Amino acid sequence: MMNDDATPPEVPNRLNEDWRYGRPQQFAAELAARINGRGTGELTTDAPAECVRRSLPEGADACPPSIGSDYFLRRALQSGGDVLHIVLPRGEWGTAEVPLRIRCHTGSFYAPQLCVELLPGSRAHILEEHTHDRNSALVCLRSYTVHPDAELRLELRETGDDASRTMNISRIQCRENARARQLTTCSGLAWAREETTGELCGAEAELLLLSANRPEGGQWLDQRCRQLHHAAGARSRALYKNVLRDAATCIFGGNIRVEPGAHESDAYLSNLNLMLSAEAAVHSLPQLEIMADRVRCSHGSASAPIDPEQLFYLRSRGIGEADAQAILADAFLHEVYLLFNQPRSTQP
Amino acid sequence: MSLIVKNLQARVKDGPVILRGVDLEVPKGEVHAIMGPNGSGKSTLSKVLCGHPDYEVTGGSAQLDGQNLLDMSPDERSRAGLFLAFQYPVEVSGVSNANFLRAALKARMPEGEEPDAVAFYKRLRATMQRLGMDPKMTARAVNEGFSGGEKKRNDVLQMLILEPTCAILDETDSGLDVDALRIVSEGVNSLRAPFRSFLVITHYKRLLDYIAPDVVHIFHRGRIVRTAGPEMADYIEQHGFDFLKEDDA
Ligand SMILES: Nc1ncnc2c1ncn2[C@@H]1O[C@H](COP(=O)(O)OP(=O)(O)OP(=O)(O)O)[C@@H](O)[C@H]1O
Ligand SMILES: [Mg+2]
Repeated sequence: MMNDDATPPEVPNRLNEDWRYGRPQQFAAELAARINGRGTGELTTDAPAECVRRSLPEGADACPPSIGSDYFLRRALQSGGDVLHIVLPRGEWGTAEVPLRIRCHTGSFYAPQLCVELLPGSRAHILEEHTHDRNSALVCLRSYTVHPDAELRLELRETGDDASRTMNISRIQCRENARARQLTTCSGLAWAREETTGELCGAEAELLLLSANRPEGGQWLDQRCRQLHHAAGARSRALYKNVLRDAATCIFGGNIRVEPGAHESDAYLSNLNLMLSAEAAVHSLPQLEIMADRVRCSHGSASAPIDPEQLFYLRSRGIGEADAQAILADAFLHEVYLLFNQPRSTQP
Repeated sequence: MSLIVKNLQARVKDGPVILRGVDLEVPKGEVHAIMGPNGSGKSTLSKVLCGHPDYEVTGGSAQLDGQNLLDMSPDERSRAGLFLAFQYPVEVSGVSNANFLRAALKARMPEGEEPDAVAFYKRLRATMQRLGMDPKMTARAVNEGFSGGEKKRNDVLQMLILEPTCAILDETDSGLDVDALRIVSEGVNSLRAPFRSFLVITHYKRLLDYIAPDVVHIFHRGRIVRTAGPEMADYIEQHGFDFLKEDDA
């Protein structure tokens, strides 16, 4: 359900999963204030010119579904931000990464729209870098379609300052025998919301959603992911790991939904948090909705401080407390990078 | 100079008293063994000396080379030359053995300096070979999925790389096969030096046959109750700890 233009963002409501854990009022107000201003930013790519268009084709379904952020989605579409439509035909793209850069100018609101298609047999490695100049707000609509037998390796690195806010509303659609893996990392921002809807639309499709973050100070990281299994015999994995310091807050809402008929789906969803401070907080809610048969699905969520025995073991070898903590924090996130970088055939 | 422990008392934080006045002096160049019944507090002594956070020292003192250990953090104690090969070495997933040891060496160097990578790996490989360890273990996570004996060897590897001046080995022999026991003992013996001391906790004489101790202490109910020569190990092997019952009476 979309809000009418004049309707302010929804009031937090316990029954509304989207806002249940966030601090969205403040963010919404701040973002809404900026939405009224003129958006300035840059959306650039090094992809070959023949693959790039600055507008969307007529009738393209390039708008990602939001996970309860309809207000922002609509405002972003209205703001008329830049559009990039990239179509990558069969072949290898970006063995040294196809860069996509989004830069949000100081004090501004920017809402670009990114639509990338990997045509059948295309293999691409894309690095998406979002940077914020001071005190800016970004709402980025991202849509990736991975056609049959194509393979996408996508890294999103978001960096900004502690007066900036960001929101990514994303969709990754995997068709038959398509493979996609996304790794998101976000650092420095006051408030970041990452939404990804993964859609598995064909047999043997495979999707890996990964995220590794180190929120600190008073940062809020709000992560939402959905694994929608529309077709039978597809596989999806989501692993979101965060190392929290200071008074950082993480919110995680994850959902595996296996539609009727999507038999033999194989899906896994996990949110794990390492708490380096007693003031840090995590609200995590992974969910399953299964409407098909012979399905293998599991989900989990855990938040824990550093294992004191491990910390002592490192310190007993002379490694100082801060260094030992840093080593263990790196070790905690290591699994995410390992999964992102491992060869396709050995994906768990 | 040496390891000097006087009337050391410690308890589990918010829990029972375990160490009830340990007196122990291990001069440089000597190897002392500690034997004693299960649960008598041997591992607790070794962990308290290293500053394990589970325990609270309630009295007494512990010095290494004239420095007050009890005032130091666990990492300071290690950098001051103390080393403990744990009875149960900890698994640390996501940290490779090689990176772990490099970090431990780096911690001993001046700020900003790092061990030379080529020399480090060369030395690491050579030391592992001496201990009969698979070179692939450099890349594996610290102790993760290691067999019992492999973990023990890995702790000894760390000792050989870090070259402490005072090493405590807590039942390093248990879980080792016959060949490993000999190899590990040779490793320990290779470190023996006039400026080094060893405290070897064990239940078995066979380790002491390899690492000939100068002194054998008997630990019972949180303190050292007998101190004798190496022949004590033979006596215990034959008669067990029955003689301690007199002490209890
Ligand atoms: N952290 C702890 N919490 C509770 N009890 C403890 C703790 N650490 C040690 N203890 C208790 O203290 C006593 C001594 O334990 P310790 O491990 O030091 O014995 P040990 O002499 O090393 O025995 P073993 O020969 O079996 O290794 C035991 O009763 C043990 O249960
Ligand atoms: Mg013990």
